[in-house]
Amino acid sequence: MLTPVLLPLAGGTIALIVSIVHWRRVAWAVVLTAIFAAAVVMGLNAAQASAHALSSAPGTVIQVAGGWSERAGIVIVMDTAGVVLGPVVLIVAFLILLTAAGQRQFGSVFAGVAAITVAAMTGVILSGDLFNLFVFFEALSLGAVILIAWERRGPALYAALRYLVVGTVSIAFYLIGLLLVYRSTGELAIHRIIPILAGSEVTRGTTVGLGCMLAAVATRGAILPFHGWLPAAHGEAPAPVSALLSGLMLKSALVALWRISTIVRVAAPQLLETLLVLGALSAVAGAFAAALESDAKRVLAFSSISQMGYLVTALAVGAREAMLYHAVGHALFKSTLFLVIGAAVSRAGSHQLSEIGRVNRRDGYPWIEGPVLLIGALAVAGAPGFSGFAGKQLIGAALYSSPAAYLALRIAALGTVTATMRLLLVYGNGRPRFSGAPMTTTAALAALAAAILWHGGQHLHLVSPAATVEFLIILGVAAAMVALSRIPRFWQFVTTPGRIRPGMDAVIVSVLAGIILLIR
Amino acid sequence: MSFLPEGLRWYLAGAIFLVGLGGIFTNRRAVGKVIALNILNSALVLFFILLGSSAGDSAPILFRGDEAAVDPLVQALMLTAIVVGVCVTALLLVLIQRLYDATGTTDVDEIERILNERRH
Repeated sequence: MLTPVLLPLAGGTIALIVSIVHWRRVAWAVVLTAIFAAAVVMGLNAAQASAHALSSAPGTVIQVAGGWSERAGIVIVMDTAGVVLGPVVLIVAFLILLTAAGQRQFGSVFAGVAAITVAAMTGVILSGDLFNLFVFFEALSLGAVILIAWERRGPALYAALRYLVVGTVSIAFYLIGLLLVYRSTGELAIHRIIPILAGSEVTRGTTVGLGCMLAAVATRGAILPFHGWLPAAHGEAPAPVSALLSGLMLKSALVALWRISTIVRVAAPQLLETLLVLGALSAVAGAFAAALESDAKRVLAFSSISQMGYLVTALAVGAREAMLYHAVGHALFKSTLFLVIGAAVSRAGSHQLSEIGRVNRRDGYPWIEGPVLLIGALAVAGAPGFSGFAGKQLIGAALYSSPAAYLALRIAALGTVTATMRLLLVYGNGRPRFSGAPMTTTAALAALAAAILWHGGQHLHLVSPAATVEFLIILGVAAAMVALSRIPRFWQFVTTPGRIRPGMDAVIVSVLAGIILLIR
Repeated sequence: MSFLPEGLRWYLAGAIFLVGLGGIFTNRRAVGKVIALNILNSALVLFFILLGSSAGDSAPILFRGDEAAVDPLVQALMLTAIVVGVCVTALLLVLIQRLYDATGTTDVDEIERILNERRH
């Protein structure tokens, strides 16, 4: 079951060796083949596991790597989250890297590091062991940092540095949590910890430990007080890297959060209430921050925070199916949007929406970007019939016991639609151009768009006249807000960025983690 | 360490942890932050080693059979954590060098100011 991790890892290693002689094409071919093969193996494993899931109740296949005993070995797990997200992550990673392979600035070293990052993501998704999660998380952030800083521009380097520092501090708290949990249970495998904690009195130390772990993984998932690193990191990275980070890396954090939440649910369910509140806050704040942002890639980055908020509220109430459906949806449409907008940003040489719009008008844009952006935008905005809509309906239905969170998510939809509309307007006056785009990019974007449409079609039965009317009303209000934004003076007043103190997010990470958890 | 009472050891390790944490937040120089991160990591390793030694304190190799061995699992974990820490440190130092090349300083406030100026 470890093959989907080992294949990209081997591919990445070969690409790095090949980079010595600058065989760019060979490196990319090896990496893409390895990731594709990993996706196939993962798909087969998933099919096998879901067949297994039908026969036994928990629906989880557990294996120990290297044939060690369960006490000493590393537990690999294939549960519903892995079955759904594992193959999706690998396939989308393949498509994203396919677009990168067509661009000259991404050489064989990039291919190698990207493959290792993908291997680490898969590793996180397959880990059933708390310490192993830490190792893969660290491998993941090392790879991600190299990719973020790839273009060696100042802001990207600084974003990467900040990401790595925040990540390391958060992971220190994760290890403290691990220590406390290990001290009280003597186990690291999640499926062995759950019965121990369920069958005994849970001490205060264990609760604090679980809280630390949740907070640390929430930092990786950019949930509200711990989100400071994300807009810079996702906004400054090259386009394919932003797509990898936003579409897929956040999903691996989500899977880890889900696994830890299965322990928390039996040991300290009050922590999940905190998580619900934080998730709802992220959903609203992220959406409106996206609506106010003028940097095209940061619009998408803030929107990712919002979508992670949706996913975490679903996770907090235990709505696994809704969470996984929306997670797949988000992986597809956010990767697509980042690829399209990222390409537009690098054509324009500027992150500003207005400047991109100007360049699109002057030079035109590759024709494929138009329809693909439209499909992605409709999906993220939650237009009836698309995956974002179904995901939000499913999550909303799961929130019947917490009307405040439900309301928050409804309000967040307004922010998301406004942000999406501003992105679409960038292409409003542009003209499509039918030459110049590499074949691979066109094919990958078309495949992603098709996947979004197919995924939305899974839940067409949720479309109802009432929901459609609601969407149209939101659309109307959003249009009014965008119109208002064209009055420049007002907009400047709203969006003047406050100077953010360096390291502030790291302070917030630890202080809030401490305070929230000790009060509990 | 056996001359120190059990509780005191934990407090000392905790103090080292806080020194590291404080260093990350208060130090304006990027290299200082890296050193603080390493102190933080060392404190974590100490925590785990202390936890392992509560099971016993002789090495889990060449057993006579009657001694209480340390918990070998935490030691294995910490070997991994130390290796990961070295990788993170190396990468951080490379990033700082690149930032220095781009901005001419390793002062975090200064870097932020320069980058903000270039943006506007």
